Amino acid sequence: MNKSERNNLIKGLLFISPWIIGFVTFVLYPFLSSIYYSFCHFNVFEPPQWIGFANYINLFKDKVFWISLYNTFFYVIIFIPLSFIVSMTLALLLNTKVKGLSFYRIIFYIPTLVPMVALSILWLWMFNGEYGILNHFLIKMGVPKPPNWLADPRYAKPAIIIMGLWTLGQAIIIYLAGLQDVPRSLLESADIDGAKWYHKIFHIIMPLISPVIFFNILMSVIISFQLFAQPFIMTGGGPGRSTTFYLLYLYQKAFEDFRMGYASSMAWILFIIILVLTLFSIKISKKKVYYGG
Amino acid sequence: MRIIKLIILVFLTGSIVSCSRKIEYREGRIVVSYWEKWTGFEKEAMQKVVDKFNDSQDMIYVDMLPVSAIDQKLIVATASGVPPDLAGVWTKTVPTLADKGAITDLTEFCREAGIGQDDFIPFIWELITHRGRVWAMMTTPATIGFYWNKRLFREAGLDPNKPPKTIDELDVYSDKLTVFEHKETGKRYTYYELVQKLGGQEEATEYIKLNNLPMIQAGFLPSEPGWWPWLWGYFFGGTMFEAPDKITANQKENIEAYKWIQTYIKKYGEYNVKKFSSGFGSFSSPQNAFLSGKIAMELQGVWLYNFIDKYSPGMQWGAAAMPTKDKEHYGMAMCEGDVLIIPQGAKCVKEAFEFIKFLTKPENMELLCSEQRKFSPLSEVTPGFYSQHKHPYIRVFRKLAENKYTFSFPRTGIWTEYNRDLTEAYHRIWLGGENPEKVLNEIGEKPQEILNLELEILRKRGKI
Repeated sequence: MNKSERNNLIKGLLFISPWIIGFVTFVLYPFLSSIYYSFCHFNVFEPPQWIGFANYINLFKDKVFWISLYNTFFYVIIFIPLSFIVSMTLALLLNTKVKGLSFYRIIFYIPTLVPMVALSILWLWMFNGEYGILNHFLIKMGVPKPPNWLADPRYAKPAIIIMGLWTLGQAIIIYLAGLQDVPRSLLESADIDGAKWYHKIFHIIMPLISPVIFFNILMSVIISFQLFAQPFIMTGGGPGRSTTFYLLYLYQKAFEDFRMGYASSMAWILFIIILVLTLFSIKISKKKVYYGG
Repeated sequence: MRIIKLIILVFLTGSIVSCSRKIEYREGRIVVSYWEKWTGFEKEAMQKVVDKFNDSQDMIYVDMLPVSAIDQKLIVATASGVPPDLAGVWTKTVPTLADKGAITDLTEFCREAGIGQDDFIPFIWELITHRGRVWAMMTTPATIGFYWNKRLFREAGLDPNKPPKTIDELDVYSDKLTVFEHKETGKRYTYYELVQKLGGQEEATEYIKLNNLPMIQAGFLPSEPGWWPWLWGYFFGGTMFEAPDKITANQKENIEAYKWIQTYIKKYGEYNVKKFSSGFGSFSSPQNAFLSGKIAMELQGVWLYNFIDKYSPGMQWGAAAMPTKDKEHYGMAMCEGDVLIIPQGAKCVKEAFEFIKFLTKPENMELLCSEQRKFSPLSEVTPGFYSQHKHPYIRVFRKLAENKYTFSFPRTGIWTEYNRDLTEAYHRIWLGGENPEKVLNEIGEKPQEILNLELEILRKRGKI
């Protein structure tokens, strides 16, 4: 490395140093130290005490850990396909030529801009069994005894899923951008060949925007496993642990019970789950995702 | 490469300097930083004491800062080595913080200052000690009493000055005060009337279900306000924890209490109770179920008067002890409180304790407690304290703290975890209709294992 190259390297490093400092301090160091803590009894106030695999063994024996894992998988398995169907359908509708299209696009995007805390409080009222707008409409539609959404262990998880569908604006915008990249010429050719709308969607549009679909689903999977704010604000994990999602339980262990070692082992298990699913998705994507380039 | 090394050095030095809090001085006085969870009038009451302290001498200046989510922020600050010198938390967190080594042992400080057990109501002193050591200082204590709406009592034909004293009486009172309405005819029935008319509870419940009669007023619901789902067993003579190491969730008295809880949702109808309860407004609002007259009797803390005064000043109400299963236990209550602690690693421990010492003087404690409309934790009060107190039932709440059966949350370092398990048990029994005995047997196992593990660690560390 000559003097000029060295100077350039130093300048480059200086320019990105705020990021490097932030990354090392707030990501890399906690990330690596959590591996060590996951093998320790660590309450943050006293030095960590090495206990080997005890945290992992206790975790697998912990009934609430399995409940939180079940709740999280339940959410992911129901929410991901549902959110895909809803956001893709809305993106297709918003891609048509109708009057007031910009207005509709804004309407569907606006909920994304509302902070999650405010949104959760709003939905608390919408799900209210006595005065909630949701039950008001259900009664109007002829449902005699609509559910007490968040007060009933059977309906609390579905309620959180319904609420999640409210904030699909981001995914819709990404799908919309993908849809607008589909060459008009291909769709017009299909029209000339007599293709129906569903032929165009499943045989032209979907394959062409498959990288966009893959990206959105992958991000949804990662975000869904980290569901926290809604149950934390709306239910606190109840009723009867029905909304104790994985990250909420991790938070309770770390910041309410001061079991940082236990929480670190939970974090690593979640990391492995998400990593495996991501690698699996990438493997599938090689066969199913079409990259035009 | 020298430049890179220099940058790293500057960064690390900066981090170390910024992460260690130095003793601060203001006009030559040592500044004691004090974090308090209170806002509004409660904060103003403590501010008066702080101002009085600051005016009283020229060596120390207490700087009080209201802090939200104080539990979490205190952990982070203490773990980072930059805690405040004083913090206002709750008695329920004291055993946990003490076991984890997060707070300063105040035993010797108290001894030197001449502060002892005799200065306090006996049970209050218990609340600030753990494993025989003093860890906190009580600021404002609170007992949980039984409130009733006198207007609704009158309307139901009950004596408004005679609250129920036993669980059996409470059940009858509740039935007389629980009202259902026929949607089409608009006719109203109390549950008691339906039982009398139809010949039994099962028939009355079935009639309500078949005719889809919505509940429009509840006499008593164990789910309201739902803040202490673990305490019902105590009113049946049970306990949830036997110090130092026994989890007793499945005691027969607790099982009996949970079976009793279940009778309420069974007799008034699951759907009705859940729907009616979900319409209750938030505690601190005029839509509060008790303040708005939706529920006639409720278990609540001494502080409820502040909210009655604010949102429903014309309300006719009374306060007494919670009814108990047998008459012998009547007069007992749950007692908790707000406390001051000195976090481990605080820079000005002696100065912080000076403020604590100042606060324990009767005139200062009474200033704080009367402004917050609570009773003094001290055994002696000045003659005018009660006669000038704004809370009309303050003597009742004080008396509850003195009862020999009065209890607190289970005083163990694993309380937060155990509490979550008991809340789950309550939900499974109340909402899920599960068998109380089975649920409580299941629930007790996990906290017992955690407690055994925790005690083992404490033993290894020489703390017990």
